[in-house]
Amino acid sequence: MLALSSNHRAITMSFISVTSKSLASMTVCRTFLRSLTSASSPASPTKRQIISLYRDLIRSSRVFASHNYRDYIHRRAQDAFRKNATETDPKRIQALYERGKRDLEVARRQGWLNAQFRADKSVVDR
Amino acid sequence: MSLLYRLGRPTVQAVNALRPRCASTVLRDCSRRSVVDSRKTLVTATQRVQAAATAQETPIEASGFEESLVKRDGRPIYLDVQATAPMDPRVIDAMLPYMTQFYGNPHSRTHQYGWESEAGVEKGRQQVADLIGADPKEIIFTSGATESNNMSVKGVARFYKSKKNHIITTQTEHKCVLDSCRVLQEEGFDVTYLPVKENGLIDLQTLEEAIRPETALVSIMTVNNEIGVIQPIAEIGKICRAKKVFFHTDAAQAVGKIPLDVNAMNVDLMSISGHKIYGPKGIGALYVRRRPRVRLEPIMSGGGQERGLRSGTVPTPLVVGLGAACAIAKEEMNYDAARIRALSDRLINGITSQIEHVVRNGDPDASYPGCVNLSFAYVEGESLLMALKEIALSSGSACTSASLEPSYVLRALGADDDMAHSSIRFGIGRFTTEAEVDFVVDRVVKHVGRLREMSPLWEMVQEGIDLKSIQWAQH
Repeated sequence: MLALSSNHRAITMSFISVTSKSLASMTVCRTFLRSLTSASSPASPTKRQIISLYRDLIRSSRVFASHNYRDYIHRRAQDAFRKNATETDPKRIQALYERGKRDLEVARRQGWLNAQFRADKSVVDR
Repeated sequence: MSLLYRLGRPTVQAVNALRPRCASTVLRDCSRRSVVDSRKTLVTATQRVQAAATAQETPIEASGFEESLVKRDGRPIYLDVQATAPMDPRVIDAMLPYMTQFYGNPHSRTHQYGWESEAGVEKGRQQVADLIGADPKEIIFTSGATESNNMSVKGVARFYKSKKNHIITTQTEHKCVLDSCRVLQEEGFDVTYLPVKENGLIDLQTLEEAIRPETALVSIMTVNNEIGVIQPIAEIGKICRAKKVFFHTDAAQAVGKIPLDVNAMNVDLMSISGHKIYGPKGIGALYVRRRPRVRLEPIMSGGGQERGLRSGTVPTPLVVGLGAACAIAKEEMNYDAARIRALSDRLINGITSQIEHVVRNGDPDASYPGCVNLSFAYVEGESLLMALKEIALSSGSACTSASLEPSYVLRALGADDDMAHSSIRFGIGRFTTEAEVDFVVDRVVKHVGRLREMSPLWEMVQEGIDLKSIQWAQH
């Protein structure tokens, strides 16, 4: 019974952290979007595509069993989008988008792989 | 022994615990060898620690640590990236195709399987070369930095032995360089082990004076594995080039973490390791300069791979992994450096603001922030390591972590025996998080306080007694 209730709390906790994470991601997306409105070219990906790439990347990070990788991918994606939020060159945006898509594939594959070999949870990951 | 039996029924675990060294013996051992000759006083402290250690009825595993206790609380935080680093998922992703589909021998010239693998190996070679500003033809793949170091030290010395018979290295080098030098000494070479200053750096003047006309090689590591100090490689390279002496540097802990350029720094040989840069274990590289040409006598004889310097089939997946790790390191160097610097400051400030008598070993400025070596005065390092069971740490190099001897690197710095005994190395890497650092600060502060609380030495220090002035009774 005790184990059950503590498990229950863990689930609620993780749900809260997910919501706060997606809230943060929305802010990042909005800044990125604002910068994009000035630069639109046929080669550039659409706003919707960029937002969805960002969301997919964040989502892909959650699959990892190891919290170190989970946090790294979340943080790295966030920082990369933040850093390039002011990018206006359509060619560069296109290149960054392609790069992000390749990274997403890697993150999805490796997240799955990582989750196949679970170890005990870390002392800071509970 | 009887203590353990008294704890309960002599179960299989209890009997097993009798075989290996139990925690209390380890503790007794290290306190006997440590701090001062104050056996009389320390016995009291030991007894108290022993009582604390045996109070819990947990079986003690062969490692000497209470493993089940660690397992129950969750996996420890990994803070030992100088020993080895976790692989980057991008590296694993680059390697997998060569472990599943492209399994050919890269030296097979007659079919597609060989060509695919060769292309992977050559791409990896290019990526390694790009990271250190070299030409791909100058990169030799080895099994790791130990082999690279052996190859350069022994190889250069033996090749030029008819004309030159002197080698210069430092006292704080990695064991594999020092041991290679010992072997050469037995072969009749003369070796100078340069001392280091208190901050861990060598004195350039001393180096210049040590170079003789018959000096074949100078071998000085870039970033020290225990204290993280960065030697002035560019200046050393300049001196060596001016004196026409080959310069080898063991850059296993430096490559991919600090900017390196073999041409700007006049490096003739550079050892690189895969698993220190989030790549696979079992692969390394050696940079061997082509102009002016450095010649080595190979250690491995065989099929003549790697320009005849290192025979043996090149392990394609590992080389691809090393290449990917280098490419990522190059791209992420600034990002990682800023982050590791911030985490390192967070750790150091967190600890030093809450506990006194903490000394950072090695030069604080000329050092890599990801390697923080702290000495906690009046605390025994091994006891602290055991108390910090929720954190994977080491008191120094992993190669010597089995022995309770104080680190020779810290001794070379002129650290007192007690300070050398109380050192702990914190390794911060790409995947370390803020939450982990905060957790570590919290636990270190707690346990250092607790251990000092039961130390009679600490009591005396609190009373204002200068420990150095005490004449301990001789036994």
